[in-house]
Amino acid sequence: MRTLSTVLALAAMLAAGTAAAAVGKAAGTASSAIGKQDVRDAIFKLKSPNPEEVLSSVQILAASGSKDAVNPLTDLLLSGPRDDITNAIITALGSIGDRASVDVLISYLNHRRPDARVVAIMAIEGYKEAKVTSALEGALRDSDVQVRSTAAMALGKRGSKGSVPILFQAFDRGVADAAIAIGQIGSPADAQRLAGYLGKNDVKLLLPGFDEFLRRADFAEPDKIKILDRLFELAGPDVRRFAVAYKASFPQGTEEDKSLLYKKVCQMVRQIPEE
Amino acid sequence: MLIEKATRFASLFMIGLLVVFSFGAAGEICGGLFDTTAAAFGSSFPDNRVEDVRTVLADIGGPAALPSRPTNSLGVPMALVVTAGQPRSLVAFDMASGKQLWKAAPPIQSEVTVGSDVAVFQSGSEVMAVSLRDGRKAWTHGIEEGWSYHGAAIGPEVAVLSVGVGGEQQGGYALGRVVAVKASSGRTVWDISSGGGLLGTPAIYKDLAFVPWDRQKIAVIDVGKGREICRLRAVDDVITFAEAGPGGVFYGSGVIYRLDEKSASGTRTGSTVFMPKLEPVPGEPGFERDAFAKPVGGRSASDKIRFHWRPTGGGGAPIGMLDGVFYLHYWRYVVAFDEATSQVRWVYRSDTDIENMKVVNGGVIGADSTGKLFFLDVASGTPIWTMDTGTKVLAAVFDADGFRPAGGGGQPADPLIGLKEMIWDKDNRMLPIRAYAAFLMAAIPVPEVTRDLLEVYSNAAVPKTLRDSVVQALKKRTLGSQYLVEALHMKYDYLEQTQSPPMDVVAPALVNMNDRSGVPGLLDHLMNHETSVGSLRDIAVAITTLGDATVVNTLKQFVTLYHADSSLLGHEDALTAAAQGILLFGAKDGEEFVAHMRDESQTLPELRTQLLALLDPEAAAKAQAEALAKAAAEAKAKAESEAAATADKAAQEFADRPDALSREQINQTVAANQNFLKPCVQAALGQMPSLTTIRIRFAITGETGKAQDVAVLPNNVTGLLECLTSGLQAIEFPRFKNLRQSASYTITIQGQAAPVPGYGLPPPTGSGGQPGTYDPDSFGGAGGFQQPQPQQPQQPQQPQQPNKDPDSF
Repeated sequence: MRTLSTVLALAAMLAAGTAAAAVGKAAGTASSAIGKQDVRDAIFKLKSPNPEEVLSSVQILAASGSKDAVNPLTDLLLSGPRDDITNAIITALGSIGDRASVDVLISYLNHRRPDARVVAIMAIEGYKEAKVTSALEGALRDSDVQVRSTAAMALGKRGSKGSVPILFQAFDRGVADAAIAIGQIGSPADAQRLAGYLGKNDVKLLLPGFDEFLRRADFAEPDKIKILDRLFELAGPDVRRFAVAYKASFPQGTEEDKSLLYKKVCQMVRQIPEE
Repeated sequence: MLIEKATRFASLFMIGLLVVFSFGAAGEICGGLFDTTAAAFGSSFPDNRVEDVRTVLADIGGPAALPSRPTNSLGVPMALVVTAGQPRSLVAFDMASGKQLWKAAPPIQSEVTVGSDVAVFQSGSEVMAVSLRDGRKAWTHGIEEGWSYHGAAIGPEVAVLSVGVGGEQQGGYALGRVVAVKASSGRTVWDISSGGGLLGTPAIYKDLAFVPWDRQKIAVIDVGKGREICRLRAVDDVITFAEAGPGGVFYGSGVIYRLDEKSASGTRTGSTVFMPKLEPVPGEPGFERDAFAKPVGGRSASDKIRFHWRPTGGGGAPIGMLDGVFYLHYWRYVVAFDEATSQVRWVYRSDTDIENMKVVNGGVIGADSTGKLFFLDVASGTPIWTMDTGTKVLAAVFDADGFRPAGGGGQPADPLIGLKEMIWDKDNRMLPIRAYAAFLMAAIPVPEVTRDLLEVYSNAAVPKTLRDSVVQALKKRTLGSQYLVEALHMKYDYLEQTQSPPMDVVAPALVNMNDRSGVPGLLDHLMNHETSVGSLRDIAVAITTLGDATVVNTLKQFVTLYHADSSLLGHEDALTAAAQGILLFGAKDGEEFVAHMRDESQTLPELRTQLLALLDPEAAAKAQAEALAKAAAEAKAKAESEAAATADKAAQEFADRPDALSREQINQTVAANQNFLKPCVQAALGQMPSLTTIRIRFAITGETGKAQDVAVLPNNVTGLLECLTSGLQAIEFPRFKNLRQSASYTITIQGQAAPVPGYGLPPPTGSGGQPGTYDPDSFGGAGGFQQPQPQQPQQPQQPQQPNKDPDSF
């Protein structure tokens, strides 16, 4: 018989990880530890007049991954509870991952509290539906910087290549994390377009995007070398630090003669002067 | 024998003086013997006496037709321009022929005043007059060092010059003088000191000079006799100009007063006044140049932000303006306003700054900084005449009555086009007037103005100041609701850099215009998180006012979503307004819903209170009354406690006071406030260079620490008593227990240098502080005014002992 403390510990562990993708793995472990009776008890306690008890129950249901919890949680969410409970339910519905929750969760991208919008983005980023992509692209237009940044990262994680143009638009407007998303999902042409910002924008904002391109297995070596060539042209201490870090990511014993990419990055480290 | 008689007479006179001063010290009598007999600005001259006003009105006669020809004896419409180059020159142009008449190159430091034969201005340390025939110097009049020229008025025979010293930078004390000189020769006719307070640029008409005084008064001086015959004092306004001519006599600042019998009221409401029906204009322009500002001749911003107008010859109510128009000059803009409605008639924008303007029959003449002279047609606002002077212009004045080029009376320009051009002006200096243009546009009764203002608001590049003005201007609109409904489609978009519409303006305006077609858009903005939280209440109220049963679901959704949410903390009234709509349109279900929200455990506390009141107003009113009564009782107790503490403090403060001030305390206080007295001494020396000692006797009131009943020796220096009285009254002495005590103070002036002619001070003959030299900046201490030798401070009611000094009190 599991104790309540074990359940709460699992729930707390789950609550600490917010992204639905992470939740998926944790929920697998946690859900096996939370029995149906625990879920029934937690659902019952969602109606408790004690907000702390309600909050604990939401966390248990999130950890359970039980689809039975979706409707009760949704009902409670739509009744307009206080901030922390609202955020916890959004997170719980995201971690349970039931498609029936998508519309409700998307509606919370229009909540007045930016933190509610941020948790709603993290809750829906794992869903594959096209309307989620559209909603996340809409969140790039949000007035809150954290919401825009989270939306950009979510689009990168989802791998929706159709979002690249709006991510460039967001980058133009100062959403720095859009560069990372572009690096995660962009094409070689997108990489060259991003390289076109070199010399115009702060290189520190661009390097995380290039880092993503360079670490992708699906990105061809010649295209990676083109990126390094452009960076090499720019040079400078930030680029050198970047090259040093990139070089360190190669397996030990990699030889310059056998990897053009490694040879290029070694050349950069040797030839770009230190500060 | 004669000497004996004279000695006896002098002895009797001095005994008389001593007796008078003994009483004076006791605070029973004082003054009469020492009153000045000033021809003007005397302290005893009555203000606002209607019989004096009648005398003036009889002298100037009724309003006459404006001149149909220029004032100058050449009879040509004349422009006098000060060129901007170095050295500056004064160039006269005949506007009718377009020819240059003459050019003179004296240093020019002020605005130029034009008379019939001469033009007058400050040139270095002199007031200079040049002949209008050939520009040659006609005469000069010296200005003493430290004094400023404040302008002139030129009559047929006499020019009245105004000069001043002091002001805010000199301890707040100021002194002015008006000097009448022969317009033909510059010979001084009379010279009068204000005794205290600056005098502004005078106006002159029919042998009467109207002199603004201390920003509060107008002294009317009979120029021929050099005597004041009437004084006006505004009790609730400031006076920064006086204007006199065939159309009448006018004075005021941001409003225009006509001099008539009602002027004796001294109040704005009791007088004949023209007040434009306008929002406060940026830069606070007056209707004439500030008569107290040093006239720098077009080089200050205030010269380029001003109203311009001319009275009609035939009077009219309340003032009667030429062509029924008054004009606002704002740097490069001229805005013509209808006199009766204050509606904009047209807007003219010059490519460069306009240096000066003059209203004439049929329009306005101006000069821009590139040297272009122009005539704007009063009907159309378009330039129907221009003339290139061929030189950059720093300032210009015109004597051009009767000048009216052909081509006037064109089609009226659309004021909206001009105002839109103004509001989109890219010149940063124009931002205040751009913001003001929003209000001027809002007053135009055309629906499209609402659209135009919303367009300005929605432009992301528009500065916040302008955007804020647009919001305020939109609140005044009553036409164009269709554009407000269209505006509801505007949405905030970070990527597209678009803004939400100003919902706190749009929503109430839709209610004002009773346009129900905006309800769907209002509901949309209620639920949009980008809508400013501060405007949610306005939106909910508008929905409740304009909506019907179809709005209930969205209102319920709004209240449900946020009834326990911190994002509406402090804005619970928005939720309450939505709840009102639910009650209004939601029937029984609506009432149950609101009651549920009231009873829900997580509902925001303030919202719960408001919903309680909404559902049970009587109980809420009772609770509110109880709360008010409790608050009132607490406030009363607090006030009583504070009053008791204040009384204790006052009693302690009184107990700590000395019975009377010591000699040292009086000396130290006067010495510490020497700035208040210094201008008086300087002015007295100007009149009496041989002056070596000034003795002041006065009483100090224990409760206020203020001086009064001032007497001064010598008593034959014009304005000295008034000046020192004013200066002493500005000083705060320490307070003491006795009701009053007498005091005296002597200023001894050492080492007189040879006096120079005029009405100012002789220049120092040595460095400051050296024994034997006059040092105007030092008061007390070696070499300056000597430390006073005050008599022993007198206890109240204790007469002073006689003094053998023949000049003493």
